[in-house]
Amino acid sequence: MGLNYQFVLWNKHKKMYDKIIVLSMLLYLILFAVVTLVFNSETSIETLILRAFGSLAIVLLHIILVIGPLSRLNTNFLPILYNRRHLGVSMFITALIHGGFALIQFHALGNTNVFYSLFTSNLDYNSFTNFPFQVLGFFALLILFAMASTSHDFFLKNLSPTVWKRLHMLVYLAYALIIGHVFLGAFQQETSPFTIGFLSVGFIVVGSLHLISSFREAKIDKSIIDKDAQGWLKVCTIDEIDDDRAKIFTVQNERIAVFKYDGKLSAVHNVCKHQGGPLGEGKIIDGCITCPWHGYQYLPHNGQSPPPFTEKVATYELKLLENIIYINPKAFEEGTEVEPTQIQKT
Amino acid sequence: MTSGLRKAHKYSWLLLIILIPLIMVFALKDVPLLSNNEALTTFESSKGNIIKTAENDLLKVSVRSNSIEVILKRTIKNASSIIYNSDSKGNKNHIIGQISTVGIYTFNIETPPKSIVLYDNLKGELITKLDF
Amino acid sequence: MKLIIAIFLGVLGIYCAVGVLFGFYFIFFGAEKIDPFMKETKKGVRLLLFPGIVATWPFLIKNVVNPKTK
Repeated sequence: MGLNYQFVLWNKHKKMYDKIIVLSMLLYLILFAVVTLVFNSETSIETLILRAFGSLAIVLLHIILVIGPLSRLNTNFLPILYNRRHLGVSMFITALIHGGFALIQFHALGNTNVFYSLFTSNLDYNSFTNFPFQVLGFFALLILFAMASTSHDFFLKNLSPTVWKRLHMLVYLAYALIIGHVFLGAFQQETSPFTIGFLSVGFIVVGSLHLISSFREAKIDKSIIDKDAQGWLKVCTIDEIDDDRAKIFTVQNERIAVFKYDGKLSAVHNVCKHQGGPLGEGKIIDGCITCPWHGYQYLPHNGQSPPPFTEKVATYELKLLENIIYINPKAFEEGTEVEPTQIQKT
Repeated sequence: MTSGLRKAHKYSWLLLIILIPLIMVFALKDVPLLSNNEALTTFESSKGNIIKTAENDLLKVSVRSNSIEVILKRTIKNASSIIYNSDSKGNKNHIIGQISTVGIYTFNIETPPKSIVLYDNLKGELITKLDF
Repeated sequence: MKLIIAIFLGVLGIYCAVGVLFGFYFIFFGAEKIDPFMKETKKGVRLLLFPGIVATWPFLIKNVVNPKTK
């Protein structure tokens, strides 16, 4: 963490990952061109560019959409999740080339404004199959632009994490628009069973992964924990938590991480303020809870990032009765100091 | 993720899972599936005599009682090229089929057309028109 | 329909134009008011933020006008 913003927070792994992205994209474009020229040698170069970049953007979008649920189902996918933003920006650039080229190719030659031409060249807005599909692509591209341009940490902080996340969840709307764009557009012009097959299978895979992971998470959220007379929740025994580590519990739909360190116990909200990383899967390093995703740190007893950083997470009260840990489900304000619970040596 | 976000994801996907197949099914309903047409017409088209033909620098079209044969003579630049049955003024009625590269295309038809137009749906422009 | 399209594109155009104007002010002056990290941030990085500011200026402008929320 630095005291200013960097262009990209690159490290060795991220550089490697970005190289793989760029090389795979180039490989795809070359393969697409070769296959097209072999099987359909009459294709004009303009059409080839449109289709190559359009289809690449769709392939990338599918990969982006499965990373989230895959990493929730299996933690081995987490490293890809940390790097998902670069993939997103690459996807936007690819889609922009496709969209920009289409605008030039189909709408820039007349004397009307290109955007006006885009919206008015087909006015069948009441029809379904003849709907002006390019407009759908335009709106999808607007959403992708808003997402890609705000992918820097600066926006996560200054738009507030809630606004940022809501904005970035618009990717689902973009996905629906793109499906419409392809099915109402490209397919009405050139029907290829391969493309229909890819998108249908892609949709089934993406959709079912999201549903499976969300139902699984919902089940975890609903798991019942015993309450004592004062409404404190019995969560586990001390021995179940390793030193400098945490265990995560779901209390009233929110996940709480209970840390054990230096013979003490502290509990904080499990969600990192940076990008929502699971704090409870991190470790205590140099006396600070360290998020496993990007290394953001918080002091366990008050949920505050050490100065000069200003991030704060909510804290919770704990009590210990005969080696059993209880949580008060009522969260304190973010950054509230809570006296750590001492573990008596027996 | 917070519980609110988890819920938002879940409901977004429940909605998408209903919405997207609907888009797909309705969009494909009216698509001229080229492969189907070809499969049907190889057999059908050999039957019946040619009723009328027309030709210009781009297309040569032969109409039989229940099929139409289109020969595309040279490459066209348009990414989208769809043949429509049209009236004499060139107003397109329904789709006969789509063509792309140079070659011979055969499509099934119910009634022989009076005119056909080759239309680019992307640019919204007429490529060529043929009257019989 | 054409009227709706013209109005929509007009609004979109104005949104972007205001965003561009605000963006220039924001990356060089406004951002420092709401985010202390911006003081040390280099010019290249500030330009990288520019498109995002054009896209989301209504959310940022209220923080600049009323910076105490941070």
